[in-house]
Order: sequence, then structure tokens, then C-alpha cells
Amino acid sequence: MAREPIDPDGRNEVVKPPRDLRSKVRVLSGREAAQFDPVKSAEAALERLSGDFENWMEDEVRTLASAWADIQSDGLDEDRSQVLFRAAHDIKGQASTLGYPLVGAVAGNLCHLMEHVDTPTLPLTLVAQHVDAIRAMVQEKARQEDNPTARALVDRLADVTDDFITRQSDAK
Amino acid sequence: MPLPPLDLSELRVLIVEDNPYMRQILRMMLTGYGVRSVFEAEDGAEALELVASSAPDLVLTDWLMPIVNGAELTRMIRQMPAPACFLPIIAITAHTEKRRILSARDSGITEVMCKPVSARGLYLRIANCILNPRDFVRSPSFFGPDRRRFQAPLHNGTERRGTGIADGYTLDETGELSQSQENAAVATGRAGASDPSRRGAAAVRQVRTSGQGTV
Repeated sequence: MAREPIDPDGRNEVVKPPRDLRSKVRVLSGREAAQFDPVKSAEAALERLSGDFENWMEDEVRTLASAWADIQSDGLDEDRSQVLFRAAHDIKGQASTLGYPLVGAVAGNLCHLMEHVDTPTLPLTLVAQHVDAIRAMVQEKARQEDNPTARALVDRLADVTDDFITRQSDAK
Repeated sequence: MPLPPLDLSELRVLIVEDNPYMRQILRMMLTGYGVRSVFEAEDGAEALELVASSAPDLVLTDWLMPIVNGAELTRMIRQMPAPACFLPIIAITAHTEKRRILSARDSGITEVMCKPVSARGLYLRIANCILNPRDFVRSPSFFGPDRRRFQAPLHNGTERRGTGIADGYTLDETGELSQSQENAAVATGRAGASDPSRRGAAAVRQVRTSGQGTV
């Protein structure tokens, strides 16, 4: 593999990778491309899978609710907080793909809260409101981005979270 | 912008993701692109074994994983013997804050993509890894893809990068294959209420299209 020093003393160098993936990949001809669009094909594959998305979303919500139930019954500590964060983070990342964009926004807000507030001082009532909101939105199948109730909930939770973080930050 | 239509059937891709549903979504996208050899690992340890035994050409890895996370996995792969250490690694993360994205970049990943993942966004990242491969930089403190995408106007040395871009496929003004406005907002990170992952419908629309992320 080719090496090229990029500073006078040779401590740093640019190295050309030994394998070039262009040798394994071919650009489709115009005729082939007219018959096969990789992105559309992938979108169609996802569409075929989408019949399962509702069940998957419900399963993710059960995981979140279970993590929250553990905190309620056994108390909040770093490990249980991490389990809850991970569950919320999964929902944040997947909810839009699974057809629940506003649920993803609430989960993202919960992640934001947990990332900016130390675990011992987490406002549990606010955490509970996020978990309840996610559960309710999925139960009510609030898929539409213009669902007024769900949107108001998303905005309200974000406002309260921002206020809490700002107040706590000011108090430090 | 036209996407380069590629025959990816010979590509071998490793998915590293602890969430089974996300693994299935990524697998469906890859098979939709025409990739025939898809390997799956639930965690970093399993991923390292598969890198050694299955010789993937490309790794897609989640970032937040138990035990061995995406950053640690990336560093471990970069310490493996060649050619494995040169593997293109696309980090797929639900983190949207700038410091997280920069941290991912600094660990040696090739591309980063913010969730939610779109079929178009993932395809662009993969195409970028293939058609516009990065050289690697080795320094006392770092080994990984060269982050530099810009050409210094006063540089009079040899060109680092070839021009192996497919016909009909153009780079944008930043040197990237894509840089959507939505992604720019994500890559810029949260600025108070502007975090697109947290706000209402307009922001959610932004999140939905932010899968074409890059840094």
C-alpha cells in the first residue's frame, strides 16, 4: 500500500487502502438502470415489511414501559437509568421509520432530558409524562404529523424540559 | 441530483446493531439495493469475529450498544491487521448533537448517518464509500480515514484523491455526494429549541429526511 509522509519528520503519513471497492462494484448501464433502481427497490422492500411495524413499535414501547416500571419499583440508579435511556434512544431512532414520527420526537426529548440532567436529580414526574405520552400516542396510533393533540403534547413536553434544564443550569 | 445506479451484488456488508428490528430494516434495505452477502452481529464482540471470519467490504454499525459500543468497535477494527483496518465504517446513530457526531468522526469512522435511516440516505453513504474512497491518515495518536474533503487552493503537491466518480454522478460544492439542508441542521447540532429531533411537526419532517447525514 502506498504511503506518503505529510510532515517533515515523517511522524504522520497518508496511506492508500490496499483494496478498492470500485473493483467489486459496477455502474449499471442505462438499460439496466431503467429496470432496476436500488433505492426504489429498497423502499419497496421496506414497504413489504411495514405490515410488522405496528407490532414492532408496540414492542419497543413495552421495553420502555418495563424499564420505567423497574425504576418505579426498585428506585433510580445509574444502571436502571441507562436501560431507560437506551429504550428511549431506540424509539427516537426508529419511530419515524416505523411510521410514528411524533413518538420519535417525544423519545428524543426524553433522551435530551436524560443527557442534560444528572441521574440523581432527574425529574421523575417529567420522565413519567414522557413515558405516558409515548405509550398513549402508540396506543392511539397517532401516526400523523399533523395530529393536533399529539403535536401539542410534543411541544409542551419540549417546553417543560427546556425550562427544567435551564433552571437547573442557572442554579449551578 | 442523480444517484449512481450500482450493481452491489458482490458487496459483503456487516450490520452491527443490538436492536433486532433495526437489523431487519437495514438488511431489507441492503437486499433491496441488490447486496447478496449480508452478515449480522448483535454486539461489538460478535462483529469483530465476523470481520475476521467473513471478510466484509463494509460495516454499518449502531453507535449506542451495550458492552462494546460503536466507537470502541471502530477503534478495535482500526487496530486490526490490514486489510481489515481499512474497512469503510458507516456509523448509524440516533444521536443528533454535534459533539456526539464529532466524537464518532474522531474515532475513525468513514461516514456517519443520523437516524431515522432512509433508503436514499443509506444508499448515498454506501455509494460515497465506494466511489469516493478516503485515504487513511496514520499519526501517533490516530489511524483512520482522512477527513479532508477540500483541496487547498495553494497546495502544489500531488493530488491525494482520484477522480473515480461514476458517469453522470457529481459531487456537490462541499465535495460530498450529498449535503441536504436538513442534514446540515442535524450536523450543526442542537442550538436550544432548534434540535430537530425534539420539536413538533415541522421539525419531525426535518428529522424524517435527515437520514442523509454526513460529516
